[in-house]
Amino acid sequence: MEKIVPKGAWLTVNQRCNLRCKWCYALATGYQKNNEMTFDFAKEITRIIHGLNIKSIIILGGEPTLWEPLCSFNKFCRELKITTTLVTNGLMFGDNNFWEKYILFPNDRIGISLKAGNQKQMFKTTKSRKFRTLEKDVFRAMQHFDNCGVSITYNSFYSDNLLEIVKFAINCGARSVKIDFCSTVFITNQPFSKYMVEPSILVANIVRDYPELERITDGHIVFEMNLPLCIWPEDFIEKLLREKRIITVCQLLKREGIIFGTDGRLQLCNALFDYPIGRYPQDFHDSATLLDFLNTRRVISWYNRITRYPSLKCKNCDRYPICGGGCPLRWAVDNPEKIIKGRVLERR
Amino acid sequence: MNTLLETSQTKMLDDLITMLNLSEEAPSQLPSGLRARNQKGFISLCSYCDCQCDCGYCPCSVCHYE
Repeated sequence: MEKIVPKGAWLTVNQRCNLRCKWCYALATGYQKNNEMTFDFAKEITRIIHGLNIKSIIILGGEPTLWEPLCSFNKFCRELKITTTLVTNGLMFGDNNFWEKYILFPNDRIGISLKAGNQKQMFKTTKSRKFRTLEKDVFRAMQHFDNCGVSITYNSFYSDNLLEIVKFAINCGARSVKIDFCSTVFITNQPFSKYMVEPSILVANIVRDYPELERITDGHIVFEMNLPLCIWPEDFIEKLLREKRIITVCQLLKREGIIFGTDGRLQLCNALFDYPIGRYPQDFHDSATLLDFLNTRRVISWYNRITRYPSLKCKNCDRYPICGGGCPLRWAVDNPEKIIKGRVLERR
Repeated sequence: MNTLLETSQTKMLDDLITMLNLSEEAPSQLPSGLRARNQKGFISLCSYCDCQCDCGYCPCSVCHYE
């Protein structure tokens, strides 16, 4: 196996959030206000990232628009010629004080994660009553920035109204919509899957809704497939592949990302904040020592173990290179042997 | 100061990985996924919007392939 050389970095700048989404992987953080990176600490970490020749950082929370140094940090990254992507719920774009500051030093790209398709659902899923203002907030961002996309994390609340949420996204000015699928989160070391949709139901629902999704978005729809491709009807997957509407294989499976928590902890995945593999500055203190650390026997062993085939059916599947078997965390609650079928092309 | 690898926190990750119902075998080659690389070696989601990251938040609807 090749040496681990990260190509992208994620920075968790805070845990504070203005929503309380029931399926959020950060649920177990407690959304503590004080649990955030200082500007100086974020700069230190970013210099290490920069030293690895990584040119792109994704800024996560919590809710990073509530992180006071965001604009200063964006300016800092721009000076280093690092592009930044903000992952946000979009609510702060309606705050004029924030907006006036933000448009001076915006991120290079913005990904807005929408949570609901109507007011009642917004309150049920996030405890927020700001659904009406959200439409204006997101519209404002869409009008102002070209590089602004919308994503939806499909979960059990959306089983029957995905179309409504996607329509809402388009009404907010979204030019395209990305749908990903809720996976396992871990709370006090236990897998939590209450809001994940059972795979066969999920497949049936998405296949049912797809023609309308295609119509509503005028074909501007993409699925981030953290589920194995073989669970979908073959003609459906063939269509998505042909139309180039699938993203597959996460940074963890490719060993191409580094994720930092607010206290400098290094994580395999942003959902695994309680399971750090190392911490700055104890385990590494600069780019060279981070690279060495990522390639220690212990870290490689974790990667080797968590990226094993979910099922041996994947081993002979001709689609494994583009599929990867889906999100490994799912297999804490689902049995891959019951779900994965694999695909082997018959020789003619 | 203890390094993280000397603390019990790492045992939690070992336990979590054990909790995943994965097979015993690891692929000899990592999956590449549905993204191409551009000449600079970055992951290139899109030649239209020039998104070079792996975030999955590319705003371009016709991207993810070159």
